[in-house]
Amino acid sequence: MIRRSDAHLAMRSHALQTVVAETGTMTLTATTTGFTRADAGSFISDGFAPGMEVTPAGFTSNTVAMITAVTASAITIKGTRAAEASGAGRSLTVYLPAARAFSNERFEKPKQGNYLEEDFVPATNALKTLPADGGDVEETGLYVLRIFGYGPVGLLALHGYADGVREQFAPGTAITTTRGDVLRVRTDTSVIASEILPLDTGWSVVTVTVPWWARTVNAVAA
Amino acid sequence: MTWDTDLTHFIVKLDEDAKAVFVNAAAAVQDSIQNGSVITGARGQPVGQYGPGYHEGEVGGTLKASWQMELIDEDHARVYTNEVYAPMNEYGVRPDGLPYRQRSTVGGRHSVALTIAGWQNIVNNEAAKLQGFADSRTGYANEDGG
Repeated sequence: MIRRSDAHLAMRSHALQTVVAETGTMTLTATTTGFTRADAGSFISDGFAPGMEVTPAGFTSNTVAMITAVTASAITIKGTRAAEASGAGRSLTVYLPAARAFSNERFEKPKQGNYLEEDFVPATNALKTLPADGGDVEETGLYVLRIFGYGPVGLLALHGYADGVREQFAPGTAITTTRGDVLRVRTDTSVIASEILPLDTGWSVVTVTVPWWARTVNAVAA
Repeated sequence: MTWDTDLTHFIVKLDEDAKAVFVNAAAAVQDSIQNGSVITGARGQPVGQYGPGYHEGEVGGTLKASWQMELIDEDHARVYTNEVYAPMNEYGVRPDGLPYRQRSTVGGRHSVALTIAGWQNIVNNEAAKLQGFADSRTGYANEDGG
């Protein structure tokens, strides 16, 4: 049978590779209020939206910042940053929120920022082939991510985060644990993203549920 | 008995069995969400457990009892709740944004998602029970067909 800790960590690791929006490597300029581009591309088309956390790369300062406004050629961030002249080899990327409430780990909720919670939910466990010793065991379960966004910033950020996770866990995706067991995103019932649920305190949350299954070899103790 | 008669009987039996599986599966979906199920892995709905120092005098079970099953027609059923806080329990969030902590010693989260994910198991099990291949105590299909 698959080790639960292996499966949980594998799903988490795969989730953290999610890219929600990205420019790719290109020429970008940093202003005191954000970033600009001069090519024919569009930050909007690339998926950037107010309420997302943007991670710069290739600049002198690569501090993660909260996006407050987006046009085709400009991203405005919360607060200020150091201006940097136009340069090539740079990128802007949105990953899952940096603040993460992982299972049974200490977490301090940000005062006014995005954060992530997770659940690993084992479900069924059944022997599928005989004999029992050496037969196939099929296990199923869910991996659930709750993405909290601080608003009001509109719907694009949370839907964007949810879509990023849905793409990362596309039906049939294989996720390999450190021991070589393989979990797969189910194809008969696949990833579901909830509605955006508004909460009382300025946050809204979207829940993405990933159903998985795995087949391993059963071993009956002597 | 002629071939035609046999075929007619078979078609009628098949139709009856299909309807029976559908109705029983719909009931099993409700049961899975409400009470949990070993077939789907759903935990069922938590039940508020109140007493001295915590909502004293209140009685739990409102959310669990709120889940209903409605047979719409011979092909459709609906399992639903009208409790406004049902999504909160399903997803594991609180309206105030504080961490969700389950006080109930029964039930859990994600019962709807687990039931949806376990739908084919529900159907397979109900079909097996109809054919007499299931243990009536557990609802599990028996390997020996008994």
